[in-house]
Amino acid sequence: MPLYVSIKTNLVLTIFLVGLLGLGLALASTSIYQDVILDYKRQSLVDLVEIKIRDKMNELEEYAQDLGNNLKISTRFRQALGNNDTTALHDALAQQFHQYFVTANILRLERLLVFSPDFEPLAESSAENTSLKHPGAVCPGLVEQAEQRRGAERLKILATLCNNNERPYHAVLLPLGGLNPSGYLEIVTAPTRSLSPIEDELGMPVQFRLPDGELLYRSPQWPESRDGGLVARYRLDTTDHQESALLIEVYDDTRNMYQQLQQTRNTIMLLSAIIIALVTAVALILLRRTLIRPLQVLNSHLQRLHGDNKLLGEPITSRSNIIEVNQLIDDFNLMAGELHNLYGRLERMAYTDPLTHLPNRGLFNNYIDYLLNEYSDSEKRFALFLIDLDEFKRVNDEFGHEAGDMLLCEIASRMNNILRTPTLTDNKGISLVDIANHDLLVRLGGDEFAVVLPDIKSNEQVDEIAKKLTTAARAPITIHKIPVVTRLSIGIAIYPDDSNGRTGLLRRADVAMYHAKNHKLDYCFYHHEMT
Amino acid sequence: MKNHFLAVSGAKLILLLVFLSNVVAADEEEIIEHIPGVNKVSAEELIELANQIPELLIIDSRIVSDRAHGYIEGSNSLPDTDTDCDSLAETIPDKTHPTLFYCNGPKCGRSANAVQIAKQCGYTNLHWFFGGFEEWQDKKYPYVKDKQ
Repeated sequence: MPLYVSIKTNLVLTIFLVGLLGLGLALASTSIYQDVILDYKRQSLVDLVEIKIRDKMNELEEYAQDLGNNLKISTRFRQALGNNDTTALHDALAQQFHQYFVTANILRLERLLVFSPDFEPLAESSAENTSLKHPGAVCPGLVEQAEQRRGAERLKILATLCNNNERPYHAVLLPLGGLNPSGYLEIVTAPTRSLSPIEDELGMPVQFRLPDGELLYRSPQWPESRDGGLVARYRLDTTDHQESALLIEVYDDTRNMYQQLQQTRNTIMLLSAIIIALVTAVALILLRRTLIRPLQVLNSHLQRLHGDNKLLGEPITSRSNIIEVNQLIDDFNLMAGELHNLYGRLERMAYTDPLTHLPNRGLFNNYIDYLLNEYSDSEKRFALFLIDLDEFKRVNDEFGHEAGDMLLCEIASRMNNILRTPTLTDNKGISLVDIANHDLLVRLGGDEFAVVLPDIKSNEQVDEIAKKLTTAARAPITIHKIPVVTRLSIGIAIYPDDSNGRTGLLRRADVAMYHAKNHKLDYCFYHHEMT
Repeated sequence: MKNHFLAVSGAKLILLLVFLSNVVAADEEEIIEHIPGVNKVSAEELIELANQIPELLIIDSRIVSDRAHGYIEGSNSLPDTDTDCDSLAETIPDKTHPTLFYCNGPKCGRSANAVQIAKQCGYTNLHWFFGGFEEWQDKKYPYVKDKQ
């Protein structure tokens, strides 16, 4: 079943659907932007963490070097190294765990090792609570790298971040004994202690995890629930990038940002809704002015035409701003005009006798009914003549139908000249209102005519007209060069004296006509004794 | 009175211009890159030299406050401001002893100054570490710092 909807509903629905689509797009795009912003923020945070971690690793290296330098310049250590006294060396190393860097918790010193110039281990000392499980070099790769160096390169300080027993350690290898190394010192620290101050510098809680997930450090401010927060993860690899050393997580409380994003989204949605409502209103106003109103005028005109076809020729004057609508109105007016003319011609043809061009029985009946209706509440009277042409049959028989037709036309013309008949235009319809004050002469058929005289003031007036008609008809008519004399027999009935109905009037006029015909009278008023 | 005021103002202006031109000249002071008769070395060449000539004497020409930030292990402090033939004679055993001078870096000028003084004093086996302590640190060579 087809769905019929008005233009207005159609437009509102279309705008509503487009608006809904727009709102959906706005919602989706804000959601995408929110994700993009969060990704961007997370990436920025990761970058920031990377910079901070790099700074802290450099700082750690510097502190380790400072610790090593302190050791290098101590007389006890120098003597022990010079004498190759491993016990004294061990004691000197053990003493470092009570030095400022360690006691002030700047470094988490795990192990100190001394190597000979050929990297033979000479002495080592570890922290009491060290997490290192096995003695010896913590980052063997560092020593291997140092062994492979030649010339001036052997003097360079090396630093590395390595994994030992799945835990991260930072190691610095420092040459001992001036420009001609007499040994090397390896300073091993746990980097977590040195990295944790980034929580203060970032102003955000952090936590450090081992690659297997074991928690090494967590800020006291680390939230129990991460709802509404953003966690950025940075993976710190070992120096040789062979494996992951530490997973650093930073928590950023983004609830305020979420709230702002939410507010922005709501504002966008509200603005979108307002814009859609405004667009709908403007579109409806424009539509009403340009399309709906002209179409309503057109429709209302058609409705009126349906009730009264006399309005057919009346043009629509309403105009629109839309060219197509104006074209429609113009075409409608043109078509209505043509229909009006056609209708007039058809009506004229329907109510006209084609031979004499007099009105026919149809109009005659309508006219009488109209007068009966009009006069019913007044004292107005009208007269009805039924007229028969006496010589018609003879002329027809003797001279042919053409002659009969000529006779009928001539008699019709003579009677028409006497009466106050209306002028009927060919392409115009016949309005009973227009002809109501005129006499009506009609051809009922064959040689029978009828006359209606409206609003008669007296019978004498009727009598006079009847006489004029019969007199005019009696003048000879030349047919085929032979003068023919004819006469009329007129029966007259008066409304409302003789009858107040059409049929009654016609019957009485008919009776009066036959009475006149039978008694060779020109005309005769109906009288009830005739029946 | 008015003429006196103008004269004083003019003199002040001229003094200011002279001062500014001196400042600009100081900024644009040319860095000495070569000293004839002196062996200019890099950090690596310094280490090689020290290995080849164990008796090489290294003199730190920086002032004491700069040396406090760290120095090449085994070097002797003799700021260029204190460098003259007498102080050099006290530090260097003889005029042919291999001796190397350094300061903070190419822009510091103190080691160049000290080398030129040593040359004028008749020292013949002179080496000059042009990059100085800046190059030494950048290349991650070890240094020592005295306890404060």
